[in-house]
Amino acid sequence: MAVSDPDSISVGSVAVFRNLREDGDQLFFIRYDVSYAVEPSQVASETFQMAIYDTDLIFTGFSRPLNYYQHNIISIYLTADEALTWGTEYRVRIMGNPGIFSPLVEGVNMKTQALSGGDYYEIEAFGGYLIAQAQILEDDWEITLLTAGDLLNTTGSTYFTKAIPGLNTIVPEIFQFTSYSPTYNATNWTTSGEDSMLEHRGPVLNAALEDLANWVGSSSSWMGLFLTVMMASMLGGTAYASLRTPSLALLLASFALPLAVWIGLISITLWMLVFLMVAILFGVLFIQSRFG
Amino acid sequence: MPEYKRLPVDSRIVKDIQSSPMMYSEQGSGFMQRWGGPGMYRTMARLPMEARVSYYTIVELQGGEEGRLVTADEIETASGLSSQEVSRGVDLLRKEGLVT
Repeated sequence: MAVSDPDSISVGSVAVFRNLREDGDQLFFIRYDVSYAVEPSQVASETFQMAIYDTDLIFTGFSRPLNYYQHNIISIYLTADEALTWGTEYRVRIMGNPGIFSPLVEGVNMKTQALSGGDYYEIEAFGGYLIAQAQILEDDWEITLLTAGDLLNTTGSTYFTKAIPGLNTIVPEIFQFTSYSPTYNATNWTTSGEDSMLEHRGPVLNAALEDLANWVGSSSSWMGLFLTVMMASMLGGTAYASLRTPSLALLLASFALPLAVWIGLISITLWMLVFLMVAILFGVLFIQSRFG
Repeated sequence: MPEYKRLPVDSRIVKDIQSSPMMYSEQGSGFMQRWGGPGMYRTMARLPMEARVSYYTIVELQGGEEGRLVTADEIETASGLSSQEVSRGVDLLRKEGLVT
């Protein structure tokens, strides 16, 4: 496919940052202008790319297609394992696709920028640098990329994230809208113990519970709870009639609960909840009787 | 007069903004005032430079007075284009139906 040379090709700004996602990783960033007075019908990703060369202009193997023509930004991310020597005067190029543009001529369809020590920055400068780049683009495009508080709005977020994938996880504070994934511990327990307890009910008791439940229009679970409460009430009432002490009666009544769990009338979860409430109530009554 | 010979932004970005209600609602008036809207920008991005510059020069010279006759000499003087460029540009605009 034939694509004409751009009317001009230039580099506006270039910078390298490190320690973005892991110690030792690097991001090479460039603001460029591949200017066409008449836009080609082919997309920029097919015709132009960003590439990194060493000081002898040997290709390092790292390149990335441009997203757009005209004034825009792009970056190349290197993991810690891929990272190049920090502070070296690498050459960053905006260049035509060699398969389309031949020959590649500096200043015509290729622009090379040599890095200097001053182009290398630590991660702390990253957010502020990007906001400054957004302001430059915003002024030129006359398209709003920043909020009044100098955060990337939806438009700015879209195009900066296209140029720097995952940017919102590196510097979320420069985005107007961002999302965080909370950390959590996944549970790995099952209800097998509780289920096996309920199976102690057996077919006879189960049938009786089902029949009683159907008779009153309820479920066997509610019927089991009702019978447990009846059992506990009888035990507690008998104990109170003998001992005349509410707290002891309540304590003895609570013994009905583990019994109900064991024979499968109620689930152990329910028992734990009820036991907790009974224990609290017992404590209150005990303390009241002692100090009231 | 703004520079119309150069396209500052890829029209594909403008197309995205035009088709996305949330992104479009955030935009200030600068782009609209300069280019007459995203749709017009996309159209102009595909036309030769002389047609684009001629069109916006005509718009500027009309100053909102639609129907005001603008001469080729006025376009040449205001835009800096040559007479041949103005002639080619206006012919293209007529073919596109943008001027009469």
